[in-house]
Order: sequence, then C-alpha cells, then structure tokens
Amino acid sequence: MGGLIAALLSIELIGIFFTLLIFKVLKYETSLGELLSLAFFYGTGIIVFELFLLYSFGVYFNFRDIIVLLLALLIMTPILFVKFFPKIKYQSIKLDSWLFESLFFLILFLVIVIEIVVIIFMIPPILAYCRDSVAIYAFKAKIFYFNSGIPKDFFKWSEATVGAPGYPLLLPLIMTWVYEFTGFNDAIVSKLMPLFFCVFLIIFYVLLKKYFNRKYALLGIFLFATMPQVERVTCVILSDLILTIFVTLAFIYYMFFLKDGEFKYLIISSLLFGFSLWTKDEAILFSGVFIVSLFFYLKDNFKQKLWKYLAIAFFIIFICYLPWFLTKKFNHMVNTSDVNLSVITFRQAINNIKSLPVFLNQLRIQVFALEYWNIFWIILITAIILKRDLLFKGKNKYITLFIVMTIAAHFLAYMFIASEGRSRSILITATPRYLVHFIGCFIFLLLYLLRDSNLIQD
Amino acid sequence: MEHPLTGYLNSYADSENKRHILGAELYNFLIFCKVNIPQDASYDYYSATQDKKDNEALVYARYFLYPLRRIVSDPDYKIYYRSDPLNESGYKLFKTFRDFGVILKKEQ
Repeated sequence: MGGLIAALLSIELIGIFFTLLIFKVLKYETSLGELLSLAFFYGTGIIVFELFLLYSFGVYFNFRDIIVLLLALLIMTPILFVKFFPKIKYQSIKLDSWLFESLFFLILFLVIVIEIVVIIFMIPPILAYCRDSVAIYAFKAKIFYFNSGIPKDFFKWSEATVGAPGYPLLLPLIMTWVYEFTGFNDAIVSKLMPLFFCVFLIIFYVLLKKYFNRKYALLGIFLFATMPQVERVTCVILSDLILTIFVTLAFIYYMFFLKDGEFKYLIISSLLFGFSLWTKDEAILFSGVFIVSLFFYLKDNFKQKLWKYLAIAFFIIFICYLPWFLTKKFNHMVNTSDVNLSVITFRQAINNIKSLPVFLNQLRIQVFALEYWNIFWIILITAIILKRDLLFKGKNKYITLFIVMTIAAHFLAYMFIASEGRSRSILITATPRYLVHFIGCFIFLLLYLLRDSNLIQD
Repeated sequence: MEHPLTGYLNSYADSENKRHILGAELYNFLIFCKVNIPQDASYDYYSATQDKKDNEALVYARYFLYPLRRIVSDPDYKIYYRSDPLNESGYKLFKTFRDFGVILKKEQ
C-alpha cells in the first residue's frame, strides 16, 4: 500500500509542478482544492505523455530514473514558484457549516461517503470480473513493466498476442508507473480507479461550486457518485471513467470560457481535451465537437479573435495527440478487427442500422430499468422538456450544441465503423459505457436548467 | 458471476485469486505450462470449444502466461486444454498434464 501512496504522490507532485506553471503563465487564481485535484489529472496526462515520448526515443525507464526526476522537481518547484514568482492566492478549504444546518444536504453528503466506501471496498483484489480490463489494459501494463517500457516492436504485435493494440495507452502506462513503485502487483493496482473517482469528486465539487453554488455542487457530485453506470466502470479497470473525468473537466472549463470569455479557461480546457485523447478513441469525437462548437461561439461573440483562439485550442489538442497519432499512422494500427477506423463504408452503416432496435432497447434498460438509478434520467428528461426554451437561448445553445453533437457523433461513428455482424454485440456491451462518457456533461446541463428555475435557493 | 465483494471479503492470497478466476483445474495446468515452457518461447492455446467462456479463459491465460508470447502462426509450443491435439505435422508431444492438458513442441 505504501508503494501505491508513493506512486500517487509522485503523480501529484509532477501535476502540481505542471499546473502551477500553467496557472502562473495564465495568471489564474485558484483554490487549494482545485489546484491539488486538477494537478492529479494533469500529472496523469504529463506522465503518460512523458513515458510515451521516452519510448519514441528508444529510452527505457526504471524506478531510479523516476526518483531522479521527482527529486529534481521537488528541488525546482520551490525555487521556481516561491523565489522567482509572486505567490498565488489560495482559498483555504473550510468544512461547510451550512452542510450540517440542512438535513437534506447532510443526507446527500452521507450517501456520497457511503458510495465512496462501497466503491473502494467493492474492487476485487485482482483485475478480474471484466475481460476487457485484463485483455486491453492490465496485460499491456504487465508487458510494459517487465520490459521497462514499451517493447520496440510492440505496435507490430498481432491481436492474438495482445488485445486491441491500437487502443490509446493512458491507463496501461499509468498502471506501469504505479508498478514502478509497488513492483508487479495487480491486486494493489486495482485500487487506482476508485482513487481517480474520489479525486474527481473533489474537483467536480470545486468547479460546480465555482460555477453555481455549494448546494448545486453537492447535488451534482451526489448524482455522479450514485450513478450505477459510473459505479460499474469504477469497479473494474476501464478507461471509460478516465475519459469521463477528462471530458467532464474540459467541458466545465469550456463552460467557464463561455460564461466569462476569459482566455485562460480555454487553455485549461484544451489541455484536458488533449490529454483525453490518450484515454479512448471516443475522445476524438469530444475534441472535434469542442472545436466546432468553439468556432460557432467565437464567430458569434469574438469575431476579431476567432482564428487566433481557434488555432490555439486546436494546436494544444493536436500537440497532445501528435505522438500517438504518428505511432498509429506509421504502424498502420487498428483498434480491433471489429472496430476498424480504416475501413469505413456507407454500406456498413446501412447494414448496421439493423442493430438500431438493440441499441434503443439497451438505452431503455440503462435509463428506465429498475435496477438502475433512473431518477436522474427522469429528472433530466423532465427538465429538458419543461425548460426546452432555455436550451437554445443565448449562450445556452452552445452547451446544447456540444452535447447533441457529441451524442450524434458517437452514434454515427459506431454505425460506420462497427464491422458487419458485430455492431449488435458491440452496442449491447458498450451502451452503458457510452452513457458514462456523457454523465458529467448531463449533470452540468441539469444543474443549469434547475438554477434557471430557481428550484434550489442560492 | 460471483459478486466481487465476496472475493474481497474472503481476502484470498494472490495465487488463490487467480485460481478462483481461472478455476483450479485451468490454473494448475497453466502453472504447469509456465514451469515447463522456456520463458522466451511462443505458444498458441486451444481449448475444447470456442464459446464465450473459453474466450475469456484465453484472455486470462494469455495474461497469466506472459512473458510467454502467444502467436497463431508457427508457435514454438501448442497448448491444448480439454481439447484433443490435432494431427499436427512438425510438432511432437512434449508434456501431458493429467487427462486434460497436452503440450506439443515444434520439431527442430
């Protein structure tokens, strides 16, 4: 367990260094909660980027190299940020007294705590109960660890040797990083996902509080933490939760940009969209829609800065994605034989329409079946119906545009790329995971509509 | 499928967990393979049927057997679990494990 804690602290330290640097450049004032939790996710992205670049230059890494890097950062951080730069203003975290004044919100808080405890203890002590966890992520992490990095010919390996060789490598690489501290221990590494989940709850709360207020923030994390689809992807090692985290955070910072028009939010958001591309290929859809949505927003509101802002956002995302894009391109990699981006035909899409009833039935089960937490979806659908006028009013239309376009892009992508005869089974297994990708954005939309109705008094 | 919490509360040792997931029979056979096949060799794995359960067993077996590397074309060893070896030219019997596991080795 000590190794896992050390690994997490190392991610945090690298993240703090990078986040402080970004915040300094952007003159971004932050709270301690936002800094520490965002640093964890930026740290994750930076470590993955760094490990992959080491592979690209044929450098193999070991625990000693990591310690040297961390020591260097430990020494440089105070020198850079205390001596040479003015202090960043921090807000201290206080135990919110109102929480205990309101029984309803106290209950929400306790349910979240129970949910966290259940998720942490529900994780089985080995990577099991999910075939994809082992086939796609854990196996690659084991290979990388025992080879001190990505083997030279890894991307030429066939699917018989390693499952889905073309899947983005964020999760296997971050598991490898943890193994460097713990030794090969696939029992302890399974605790990684609940920890990602807990850190996300902190930053989700902090950002929702900043955008709305404390009560909306608590309601937001309550809805997220108690969603059964979220619980399921947290209890196994799957990239879907990490994709959801990166996309949700990027989306919220993008919302701050829409609200205040401040450039700094656009940079933070673009970086998160960029890192999300290392989690799952679906992230391309979110990033693409972000650029399109940004284009329309800037065209209507910042015409003189349209191309500058758009180019910067695109450049950041592109740079984050470039090493992986080039690797895939030069190795002619496909995700799996079932989902092959290089074979996209219109005929395939027409044939896959036959799977539409299966998809709709899956959606019905996920949204309305009794075993799932369906109150959220019912509240959301009701809010959308009752407040439909708001969806396209003023800046709200960009929120709606983003969500509708990403859903449509997900659907169309799978209609086009799922190979014939496999779309049915892919949709059955993947629909719950797709819903998870959108949950953060949906919760934000719901809170937005609720705030306008003044259902919860500020 | 057994609830994951059961496994956690029982606090199995690591080997016990793997035995629990793979089933004692397959687990013991894979241990046998790992001990007897050189670590830098390649293998292919065959089981009786190609149903979902066998496919999952293959995924766990591939994970468990690494650094042995599975390839389908011309592997050094062929592992048969609850499946009769085909009349493979160029391969000879290497080891057998009880009445359900067979390993063939490529002839030099």
